[in-house]
Amino acid sequence: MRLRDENQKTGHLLIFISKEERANNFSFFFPVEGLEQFDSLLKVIEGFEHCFQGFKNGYEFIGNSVADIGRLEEILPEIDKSRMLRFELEEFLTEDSQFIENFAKIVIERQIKKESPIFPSIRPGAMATGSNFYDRNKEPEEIWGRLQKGKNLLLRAPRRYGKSSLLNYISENSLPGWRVCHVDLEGGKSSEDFVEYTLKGLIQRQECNVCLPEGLSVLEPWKESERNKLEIVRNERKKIRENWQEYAGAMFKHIDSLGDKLLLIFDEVSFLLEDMIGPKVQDKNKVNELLIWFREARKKAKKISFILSGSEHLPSFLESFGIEGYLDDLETVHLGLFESQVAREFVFLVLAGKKIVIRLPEIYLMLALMGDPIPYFLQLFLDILSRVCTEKRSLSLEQIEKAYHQELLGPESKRYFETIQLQLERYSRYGERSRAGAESILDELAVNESIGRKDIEVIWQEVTGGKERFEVMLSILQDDFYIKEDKGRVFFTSKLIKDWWERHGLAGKR
Amino acid sequence: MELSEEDKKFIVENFPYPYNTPERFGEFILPRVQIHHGLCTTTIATIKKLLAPLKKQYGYRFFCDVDESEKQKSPASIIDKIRRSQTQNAKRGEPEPDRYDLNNFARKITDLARFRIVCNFLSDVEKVAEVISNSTELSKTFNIRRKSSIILRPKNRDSGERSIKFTLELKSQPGLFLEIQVMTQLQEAWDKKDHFLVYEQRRKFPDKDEEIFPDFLDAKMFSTAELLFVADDYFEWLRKKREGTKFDEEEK
Repeated sequence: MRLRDENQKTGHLLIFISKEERANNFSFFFPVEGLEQFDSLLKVIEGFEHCFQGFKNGYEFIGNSVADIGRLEEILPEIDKSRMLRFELEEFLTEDSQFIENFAKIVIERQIKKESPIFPSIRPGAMATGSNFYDRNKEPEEIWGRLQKGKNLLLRAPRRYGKSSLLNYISENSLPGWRVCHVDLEGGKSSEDFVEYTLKGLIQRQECNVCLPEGLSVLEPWKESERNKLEIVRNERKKIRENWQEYAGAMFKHIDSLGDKLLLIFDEVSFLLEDMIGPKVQDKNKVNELLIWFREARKKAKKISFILSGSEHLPSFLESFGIEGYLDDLETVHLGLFESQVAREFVFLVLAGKKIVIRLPEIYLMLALMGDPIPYFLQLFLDILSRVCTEKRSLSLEQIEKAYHQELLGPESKRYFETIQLQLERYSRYGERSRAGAESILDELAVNESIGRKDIEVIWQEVTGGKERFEVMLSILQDDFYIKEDKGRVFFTSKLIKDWWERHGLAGKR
Repeated sequence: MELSEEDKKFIVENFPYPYNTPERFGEFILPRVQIHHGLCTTTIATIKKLLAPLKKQYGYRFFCDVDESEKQKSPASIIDKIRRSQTQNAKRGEPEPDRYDLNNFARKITDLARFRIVCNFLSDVEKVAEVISNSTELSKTFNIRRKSSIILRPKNRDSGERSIKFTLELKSQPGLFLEIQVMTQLQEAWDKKDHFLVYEQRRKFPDKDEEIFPDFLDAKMFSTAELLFVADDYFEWLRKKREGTKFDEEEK
């Protein structure tokens, strides 16, 4: 991979012009150095022309030689320069000069949709919004389809798969006749918090103002500063603490009397419930109480639909505490990872946006080094490669591998893996030796390709002194550390996490 | 370039469905000339590299540049060329001119893709032409034909145009042509005016030639070209004076 040559002025411009409005045009500029690139240029022209067949009803496709791209406005004044993208021929060709159609299609599609920015940004850990919300087109459609049929949903996926970004997209792109409220439950530790956080969510949005209890909606809190909003919630806290069920019941009843439907999205339900369950029996009872009440509330609600989002292990976690059946009315939606083709497109697009030319073998190497392309970690790796490549101007396959081992897995990236440590700390709630048990399992998995499930169970027993909570811990590890069980064998699906654990997590017998 | 009435009629009568309309005929033409455009781009890049040492040597003054316009024939102008080829008759003693049609035009017309190198002085035109003629990189890739109309005797020319034209045929794909024109700024200026004042009018109104272009107008266009050649020649003399020692070297 290498930095794109931005100085070459001579090249070929492939232009797509809307038949309806010629001002609506976009183009791709390929700098060319000489006749030695004729065959490559021809492949790229033919490839784009082939892709163009899918858009020929709406667009004209024209190729144009450009002696000096700096003078484009003089020679082709109708070209919208702000929608001209610069690529190199290599970016669309395999090593044996085959055209990479998917890369071309994706940039054409993003141009036609006028995605802004065209190239997804690198924002590890941040909510993916706008055009950074990448390739999750089917999921919102599917979710809205089910909601319209009156279903309530449980969205499940391991950590860092992009659940929150998907829910954010749904809340920002609602259907006509729907209001949407996105409630983040992370940090909540009680039923009262559940209600308070719901209120917090409702006061954020203008469209949800009518859903607020009467005394609050007149204040139009969505207009207020964040500080004032907090003050309003704080004022309500007393009423909520007095009787949360009554407060929430009245609020839901009021919402049910409104014209439009409300979609209530509860994000990070797992965190709330896990934090509510402590060592004391009464805590478990409180979870029971909340879930029973909430199930009844869902049954009663005619104008409110619900999406609960949590980890894959949420049901098994609850089962392990004897809490069962309270989420059975919800239809489960699983959020998967990028398909490998999509991951390759994403890598290509992100780096293209950074003016970096990457070839397919380099993309394959990146993805092979990482294992499963978990969006957060993929972004981290891209961030590092983009930085190192910008410094060095080019990176060989060996240097990419070195960046993986020394930068991504190195001490400077440690902060990006802090959440892993935090997860481990949470495991203590499942028993005194649970954390040590989990760590020992990870230790063994990190140094082996896979381990039989029975052997894992033995490790757990040896460290914790019993079989208790083994099942739930295994399902939690699947969410938090991307391990998987297949045909009785357990292994890491994320090679990155495996390598990370081998380097930073291994600490001998616990 | 706009379509003439004859062009439109030709399109309706000769193009296959659904391209037999003035709105869609371009969709038939453009895919067949993409390869010419690609060849044009890569050749421009190569020529620019070849000319870089000369441009560096004469960096103290404008030496030459690749003209950005008229690099590729538009679909309308291709139709015009095809149509006119079908009505052209051989002049006495000359071979039958090429007859183009929708099947062969992409492999027969030699200037579907072309570009122009515009130079400052007459001697610069010669220098650029030498670089093209002597380039092993170009001769390895192309069969090159050179034709100059700069110092043709008046009786041998039927237009005021003056340039050195190279017709390049790709060796690996015979029938794939590219044209390079090398000329001075004044020669280009004449050509651009001629294109607007004469060529376009003749094309649009082929049956009104005598009416629109009586002989005295043709004579004026022709003599303007001669005048500009005199100017170019005089500028060349002045350049040699100005550049002193270089004058003697070049005279040798």
